[in-house]
Order: sequence, then structure tokens, then C-alpha cells
Amino acid sequence: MNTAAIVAGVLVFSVLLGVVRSRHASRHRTLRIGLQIAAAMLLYFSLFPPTLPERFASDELIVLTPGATPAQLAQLSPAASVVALPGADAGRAIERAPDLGTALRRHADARRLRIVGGGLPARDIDAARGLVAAFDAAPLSRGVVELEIPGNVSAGSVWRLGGRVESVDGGRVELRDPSGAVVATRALDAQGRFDLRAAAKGDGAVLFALNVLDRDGARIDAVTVPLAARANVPPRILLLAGAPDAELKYLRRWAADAGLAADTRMMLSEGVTYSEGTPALDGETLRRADVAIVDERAWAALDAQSKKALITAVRDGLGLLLRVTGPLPAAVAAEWVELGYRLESTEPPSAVRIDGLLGRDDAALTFSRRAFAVTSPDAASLLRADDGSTLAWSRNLGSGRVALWLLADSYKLSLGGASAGFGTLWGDALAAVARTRGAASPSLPLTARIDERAVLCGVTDAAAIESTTGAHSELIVDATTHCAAYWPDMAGWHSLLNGGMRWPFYVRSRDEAHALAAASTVRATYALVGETSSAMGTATRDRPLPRWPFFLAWLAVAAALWWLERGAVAQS
Amino acid sequence: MSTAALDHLRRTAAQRKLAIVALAALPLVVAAAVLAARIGGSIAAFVVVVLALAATAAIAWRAWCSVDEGWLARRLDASAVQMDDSAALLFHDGAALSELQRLQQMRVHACLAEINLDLRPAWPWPRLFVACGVALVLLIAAATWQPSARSDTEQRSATAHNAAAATALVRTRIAVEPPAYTHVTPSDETSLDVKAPEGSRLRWSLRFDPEPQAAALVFHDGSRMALTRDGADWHGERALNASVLYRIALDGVPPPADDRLHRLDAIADRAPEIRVLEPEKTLTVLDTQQKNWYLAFEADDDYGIAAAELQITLAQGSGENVKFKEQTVALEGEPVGADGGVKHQRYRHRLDLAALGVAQGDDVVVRLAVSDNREPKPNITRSASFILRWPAQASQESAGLEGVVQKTMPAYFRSQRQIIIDSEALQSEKPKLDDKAFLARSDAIGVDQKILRLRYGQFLGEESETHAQHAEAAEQAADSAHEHGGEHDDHDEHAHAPRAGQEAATFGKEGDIVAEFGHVHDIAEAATLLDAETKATLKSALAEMWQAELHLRQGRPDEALPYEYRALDFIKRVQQSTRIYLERVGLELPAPDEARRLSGERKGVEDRSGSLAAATIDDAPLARLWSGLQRGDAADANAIDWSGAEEWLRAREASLPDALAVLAAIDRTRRDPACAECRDSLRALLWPLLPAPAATGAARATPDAAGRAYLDALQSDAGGAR
Repeated sequence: MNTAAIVAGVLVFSVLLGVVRSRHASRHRTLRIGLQIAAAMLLYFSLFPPTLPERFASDELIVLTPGATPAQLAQLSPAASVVALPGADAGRAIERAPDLGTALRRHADARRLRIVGGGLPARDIDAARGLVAAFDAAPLSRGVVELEIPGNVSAGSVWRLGGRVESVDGGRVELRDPSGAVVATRALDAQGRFDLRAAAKGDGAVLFALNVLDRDGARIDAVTVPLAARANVPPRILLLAGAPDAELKYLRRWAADAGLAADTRMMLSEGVTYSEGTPALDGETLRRADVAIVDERAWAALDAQSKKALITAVRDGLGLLLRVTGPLPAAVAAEWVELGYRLESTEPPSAVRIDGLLGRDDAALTFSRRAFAVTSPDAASLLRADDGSTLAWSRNLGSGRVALWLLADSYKLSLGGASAGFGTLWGDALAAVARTRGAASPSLPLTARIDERAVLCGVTDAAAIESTTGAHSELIVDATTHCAAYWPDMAGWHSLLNGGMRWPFYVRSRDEAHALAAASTVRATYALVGETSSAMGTATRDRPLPRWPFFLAWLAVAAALWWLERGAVAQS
Repeated sequence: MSTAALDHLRRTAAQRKLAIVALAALPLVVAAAVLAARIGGSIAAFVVVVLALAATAAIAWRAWCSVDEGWLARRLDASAVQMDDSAALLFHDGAALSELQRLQQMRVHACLAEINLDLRPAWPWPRLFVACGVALVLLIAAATWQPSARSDTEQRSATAHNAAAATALVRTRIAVEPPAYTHVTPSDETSLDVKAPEGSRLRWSLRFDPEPQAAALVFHDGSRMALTRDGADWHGERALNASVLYRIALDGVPPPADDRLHRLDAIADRAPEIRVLEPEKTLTVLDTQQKNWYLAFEADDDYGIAAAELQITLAQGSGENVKFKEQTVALEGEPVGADGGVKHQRYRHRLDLAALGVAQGDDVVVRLAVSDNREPKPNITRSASFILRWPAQASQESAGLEGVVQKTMPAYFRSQRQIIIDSEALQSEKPKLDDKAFLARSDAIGVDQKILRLRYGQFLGEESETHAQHAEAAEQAADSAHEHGGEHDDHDEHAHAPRAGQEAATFGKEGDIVAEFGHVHDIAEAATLLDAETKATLKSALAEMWQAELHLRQGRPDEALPYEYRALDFIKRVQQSTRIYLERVGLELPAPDEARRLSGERKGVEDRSGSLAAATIDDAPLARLWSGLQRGDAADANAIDWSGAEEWLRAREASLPDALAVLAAIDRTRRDPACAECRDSLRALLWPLLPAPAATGAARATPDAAGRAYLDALQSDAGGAR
């Protein structure tokens, strides 16, 4: 016999006693008896509240993660299975779990997870894979929530820093160089996005600082921007030109300053050439060169054998950049169709701007594009103007690449004082076209943070990490993926020592760039949301009604009884 | 009565004891208080004084209490034999005594009244001296306590640690005596880093512990100034002419604890600043009623303004014929501001235009030059020039076109008019002249007309006629034939050709220049100097001139006149159309004519070869230092080329914004390679100075076997699809 039955028995007995005693009452007899029965029933229900059947998703587990807001907690269905992970600010009634794996073991029937709050920490990502059906994300914190830092910046080039700032309306960002001077500043757009450009200096690792300022200029957030610039091995170029022009002058000047070995042959007149190096179109020169730059006049002057040698060299890996400097002779156009580019003369050239590409908002430099309509089904865009029109294309040909260049006057950049922009423009274009050289650079952890797992890929077996203090730790490299992990316990610049080269990467301290870390957790959790294996199953569960209405009703009935009984006693 | 005497004795003795205690305690309390104040500050001194006074009070209380009846009785017995060792009886009640005791008591009372006793203890001079000696030792300890090690325990321990290895700078004083002209009061600095006006004299007065054998100040530019010793102080003096870094170098003792480079900043004397209150514009146009020109200036200087003078230039005349008259007026300033006007002055001047002799078409140019009181060479600032212009009479020349219009044929046009005038004059004089003279003069006018025609012909490329002199010898016969009559007019012109050539040297030289450099020596149609329309007009003019010449040579100037007028009219038109407007900007090159391209003579033109040299970057030492600093560990500090960077900076001190700060940071990092903060600050200072290398892109990586196979498969697929 359980407690409820005993209590029920006692109550029935009491009611019977009360009925017997009230039987002879002169006034309110029926009322008193009725109230006594009601009081007994209400007392029973306040002790053992009645239950209602309720449907719920039987295989869904709601996981509260750190950052869950009270508003989100209030929306939770009372019948659902809810667990709270460490750091989640949930009520005492909610079940706690030390990690998601434990929670899943406890709720073995859970097939679907609904994540509520700031997202799953890295620890629980693997446990949740394939199970997350929905993610009810908490609002992002104020500050920089997205940051695109280039992993591989060439020394002296213009680099781009993009990102997004959350909930700072009308604010702006400013980028400060290591000496504290502002090198770039930009107002945030409606979505809070920004796009900054700055010039890198020589080989080495430096820390820039990105400050987010609100409308009044007060600092909202500050993020360290680590930048590791590398000096590259410059390609060897073979430059064939039909005539000297301004573009060539500045291109050659840049090539000489940047250490590009250039074999140049420029025609000065019929049968008269100016040459530098050994610009012969023999097998040796073509094998040695990484990229050949040829304009349409030089092309027209090449004999059939040279053209054949050149195209063979391209198929073997040489890069070929075709410059258009004027009207295209029909014969040349026909031969270039063979190389994958069909050019048709169009309207006079329109002015294009490439300031956005190089981050020069106030320069107001206009450039001209050669007036050709280019048809090339398999060519990729190599250079785009701010208005989206393509200025240069590149396509594969055998092992090599063939590019077409229609920008007529990039030298204006050099003249306008933007030699870094000129170098970046040509350096990137030539690097994209030139022969492949060297091994792939390892992929470094760009968002490494202290006490978080950092993954490095493309490393050799003998790779090691040199920490801030100069201590070396060997990496254990997975033989199939060529990846390794590192667990930094110190903030600052670390270096990956890989194949005799040093690759610096930066480890953030724990409390730095808080909004960025929170946002990356949110993104990682969103990435988990997807198809789950099971369809949603529902079941019913009895849920007890709340006790307090019964208790209050019992109190009222008892008070009324007391009043009636008091009157009866006074009368007797 | 004897009781009163006893009380007196006891009181005086007790007072003497108190005085002794006080005298001994006073120096000790004072010395302890001073030492406590030196070590622990005023609060410690207060606590020590309170404790010491409490102890003194306790001792004094014991001393006072020790003077009781027993003590008095012992002292009386000891000091007076007459007491018979019975002084204790004096303090007993007579009733309780035996008869014998009472008798003896009376005797002692009597004796006490007779003798004059002094029971006060003697001054314990040796002990007082010992107390004073202890106090003196405490005071010396207080004086030698290091004041630098105040309160901050960390700093105290650090000092204690360094004290063994470093020389302490006990006293630092730099007397700054700014140049007298600045009127800046001399000051004493207690820091080794000083900012002072340029030209100040700095006098160092330093005291070291331990004492060095020799001391010197070593400056970053390599100069060295030995300090002279004067007792415990070391003195040195130097004029501050430029900002400089220095360090104290000591002989025979360890280096000072703060051994970084100290900085002396010379604050340069700024040149005065001039603000012009009146006139408001650079160019003022004279009002016809205006008699005076009012000028007002304000000048500011950081130390004081010495003099101001107004330079007045009167420019008279126009065109090529402009005369200048210059004069200088020294201005007296009115002081502005609270400092008596030494630094801030206002100048007003009234220029009396009549006295200056300004006439219509003249310009008055004024300019204020203000010099400050800098010595030895004052800074002089000159204001912009302000012009008062009395406009000239409206000129005939069309304004605004000078400079862009080039008149290509200046001299000839009047010449055609002259021919007309001559012809008309000749016609009017015809009745007075005989036929021969008339014909000769008409012929002369015809010759002038021919010269003119030849001149214009040059512009059309008719050079055969301009070189008529070539045929001179061949025409000698015709020349003689001319003397017979006027029938052979065709030959006559050749006779005058040499004359025409001589005249050409002086007449219409501008045309010569154009003819020499401008036109093309081939057919008229290809002459590129003039456009087709102008050429047509010019040809018409030449045709008219032919006709006019014909009639003039025939002695009929009246018939020549209509042609002359028409020629003049055409020439006028040419004059108007041959104004060449030079475009200021822009150049539209025509597309090359491929058919004609590269068809020229290329004899002797050969292939060339050369090479471009890369730009030399002279900032290499800085770049090396920067990359050396990248590595965090101190071990490779020796590998860093510090000296190269320092030399580089020293060579460019004048052109760099703050080379001294970089030099100081280099020195600091070099001396303490383990200091991460020093490295960071040095890198931050170096960053703006670093060269930016020319950018190159990162090369594409060579694909591995899998990538190669994938690429090949893609290519073969694409090939198959095609």
C-alpha cells in the first residue's frame, strides 16, 4: 500500500467523521458537508497533483551550452529532455552533464540534438557530429566576429584584412601598424563588414592591431592581427615585346627591383632589337624561364618554329602571358584562338578602376582596358576591375598556363606612388601563371588560441614547433593526412620548423578577441547542423499539474469551513 | 619645623633625580625620532616618540618613588656624622618609642636644625655623555640612510641587490642656464634627462658612491666630456646646441645603476609667425579717392621679437619698361598681451601714396620681415607680398591671350601696308616727278613687293624663288640690259635679289626663324606648317602680289593699288588664321600607319643589349637589425649587427623624425638582450624606418603525384571532349 492510498484513506475517514459531526447541524448543513468533501479532495490533489498526458519528441535532447540566454531558457518545452553543459547558466532543475558524450550516454535514446546557446565547445564537436538537428544560437557579442587574415603574405605586397563587426552601427575600424600609426581606416557597412588593405614590409612576423570604434570614436573592441610576411623566390621571366612602352618600362623596373631575372627582347625597329640577358627561344631558355610575357607585335614577329617551341614549353609547364598593346592582326588573333582566347575588337576602351583591389579609395586613378571582347570558355579570371569586368584571364594548357592581359596602363600605379600596388598586381598575376616551383607551403593554424588544439597540415615527418621561449617540441604527424596537432600553452609567435624552413604562426591569449572566439564557436556549431539519421519520433509523457492552485483552493475552502464552524460553536 | 625641613630635603632630591632622567632621555628620544622619520616616515617617528616618552615617564616615576623615608634616612646617616646613624628615628612617632629612642630622636632633630644639608644626588656626567654619544650614533645612522630606498619594498630589495654591483648616484643636479636672450629663468634639474632651449649651458653636478677615480659624460656622437672633481662633487659643463644622448662613464667603480642612455633635448627657437590683419587680400585695387594705404600685422615669437621692417617696392611703368624703387621702413610695434609685448606685437603703418609718388599704372608691393632675438643669428620670417595696384589705362592688347598665342609672322603685314602707302604717295607725287624718276620709284616699290611675295612664298614651299641668288652670275648680262630700259622686267627682279637677301638679315627676322626651322622643303602641298585653308588664302595673296608687282614694275602704281589692297586683305585673313593655339595638356597620338611603319632608313642602327640594375636599398642595416630582433631568444643577440644600424642612424639623424629615440632603444636592447619589452619597443620604433621591398607573388607549388595524375586526367578528358 503506497503513501497516496494511505493518505486517501485517512482523508476519507476524516470526511466521514466530519459528515457525521455535521449531520445534526442546524444551519448550512449541506454546505458544510460539501465543503468538507471539497477540502479533502483539494488537500489530496495538492499533495498528489493530477497528471496530464503530453506529447514530446522522444528522441530529441536539448543541450544547453554556455551563453544560453534566459529568453531561450523560457522558450524550452517543459516536457523535453534537457541537459546543460558546463558553463550554461540554467536553472537547478535542469540536468547537468560534464560533456556531451556523458549526456548522450545518459540519454541513450536521443537521436537528435537541439543546441541552445553559444554553441558547442571544441571538446563536444566530435560527439555531436551527425546528431545536431537544430541550433538555436544566442545573439553574438559586440565586437569583431569575423576576421580574414591572410595566411601567406608576400613581403612588400598589399594585403587584405576583411571581416565583420557585430552590432556597432555607424562605427568604423582602424588598422594600426606595429609602431602604432593608423595605416588604414574604413567605415563599417550596413552588415558591419569591412575590408582594409595595408602594405607589408620585409620578411618577418609582426603584429598589427585592429580597433573597432563606435560612432563617437570610443573603442569597442581590439583584436591583434598577426601578419607573417615571406620573401618569395621570384620567377624567371622571358619578356618579348614588339616595341618599348611605358608599361614595359615600369614592369622591367619592378622586375629588376624585385629580383626577377628577366631575359628581355624588345624590337626597336625592323631587324633592330634591344635585349637583356639571353632571350633566345631555344629549349634551354624556355626550360629555364618560369613565365614568358609576349605582346601581339612580338608574337607576329615570331617565326613558326619559335611559336611551336614556345607552345611546347607551355605544355611542359611554362607560363605564358599574352599582352595586348594595340589592334590585333588577324593572323595573331587566329593563332591565339588556338591558345584558347577568341578576341574581337569592340567599342573604344572604357576607363576602369582597380582601387578596390589595392585598397586605394582616394586615389581616383583610372586605367584603360584594351577594347576586346574575349571568349574563352575554360579561362578563369585573373584580374577583375572594381566594376566586375575582367581585365585578365588565365587557363591551363598542358602543365602550364596561358594568360591574357588587357589592362593597358598599370604603370599609372607606379607613377601615382603606389609601387607596392603595382608589385602586388604583377607579382600575383605572374605567380599565378608561372611554372610551378617548390613544395606546397604547410597550412598553419590562423586562429590558434592558448589551450586549444591547433591543427597544422602539409607538414613533413620531422616537423617541430618552436615556442615563444625557443623551446622545441616535435610533432607527431599522421602519415596519411600529413597533419599534426599542437596544444599551445603560451601566447605569442610560434614557429613551425618544417623542411628547413620557418613558418611563424600566432597563438592568441585566452581572453583576447572574445567576440571572435564566441563567433567561431557559433559557426562551428552551425556547420554541424544537418540531416540527422532518424525521423522525429514522438511519445506521450504524464506531466503533473502544478500544486499551488490546489493548495490555494484548499486554503480558501478551509477558511470558509472555519468560518462556518465558528458560527456553529458560538450558537451552541 | 624639622618635618618641613625633611620635606624640603626630600623634594629637592627627587627633583634632581627627575632632572637627571630627563637630561639623559632627551637626546636619545630626539635621535630615535629622527632615525625613525628617516626610515619609516612621520608616522613611525610619532610612534617612536610616544614609546620613548612613555619609557622615560616610567623611569622618572620610579626615580621619584625611590626617594622615600628609608632613602632619606640612609642619605642623612651617610652625609652627616652628627646623625649618629639614627636618622630613621626622625620618621617615627614619638609616642611609640622607648625613652632612650625618644631622647635620641630629640638629639637628631636638634642636630638637623643646626646643620645645613644638601641631599641632592650629584649630576652623573659620564652617564649623560654616554647617552649623548648613543644619540649621536643614531643621528649619524639616520643621516647615512639611503633616501632612494623609500617605502617601496620591491625597489628597496632591488637597490640592495644592485648596490653591491652598481655605483649609486647620490646627488644629481643639472643647472640649466638658457641663453640670455630667451629670458627663461635658469633652473636646476634633478633628472639626467633634460629638455632645454637650444644654446643653453648645462652644468652637471654629480656625486657618486663609491667615489670613482675619474668620471666623464660620453655622448652618442662619439664626443666625450671629462668631469672635474671638486670635493665630493663632479662637475661638467656643455652647451646644448643639438639634441643628444649621453651616458655617465666611471673609472675604477662599477657603472651607475641606471646605465641607459640619457637624453638632452634642445628645444629649437621657432621663427616668428606673422599674421596679416590688413589688407585682407594679396591684391588690392586702388580706389581713386584713396590717399593712404593702411597696413596692420601681428607677429608672435616664442622668446621675443627683436625688429620688424616693412619692405616697400614701387613698380612703375609697363611692359618691358618697368622701374623699381625700393625702400625699407623700420616699424615700431605695439605690445599685445600680458607679457609686455616681448613675444607678441602688433604693427600698424600708414603708407602715404602721394609721398611715395604712386601714379596711375603703378604697383606698390609691401612685405613685412620680422626677426626674433635669437643669438647669434636671428630667425627672420617674411610675410607674403601684398600689392596695391593703380590700374593702368585700358590697354589695346587683347588680354588673356598672351602666352598662348604665338604670332608667326610679325613683321610683314605692316610691310604690305607700307607698300600701299608708298604707292599712294607716289601716285600723289606723280605730277611733280619726271617719268624716269617716277618709274624708278615705282620699280623700287615693286621690288619691295617682290621681296614680300618671296617671303610669303617661303611658307608655301616656293623655295626656288628664294634662292634666286644662285643665278646671279648667269644674270649679269640681264643686269646690264636693265640699264637700257624697263622692258625686261622679268630680269630686273634678279638684279635686286642680292639686295633682297641683305634686307632679309634685318627685315622680318622672326619669319626667318620660322622659315629655317618650321617648314618642309618639298612641294607646297606637303608643307606642313600651315593648314590647307591658310595656304589657299596665302596663295591668293601671292597672286595679288604678283599682279601688284607687275603694275608697279611697269610704273603704274595706281593700277597696282587694287591688287595691293586685296593682297593686304588676304594677308589680314592669314594673320588671323595663323594664330597657333598651343594646347596645354593632352596628347592624342594617331594610330600608327602599319603600311608606312618601319620603312625608314636604318643604316648603321644595330641591336643593343643592356641590363637594368636593381635599385640599391641603403636601408639594409636596419632590415638586418629588424630580422635579427625577430627571434625571441636572447642567445643570438651577439649575432645582431647593432653597430651597422647605429652608424646608419647616426648618418641620417637630421633627416629622420626621431633618430635619437631609436638609438636610445638600440642601446637599451643591446645592453639587456633578455628584456622583451625593450625589443618590442625597439621594433615598434624601427617599423616606420624599414624599407618596403618590391613585392613578388608566392609561387604555385609543384603538384604531387596525385595532383599531377588528376591534372592529366582533366586535360585528357577535355581533349577527348573536344
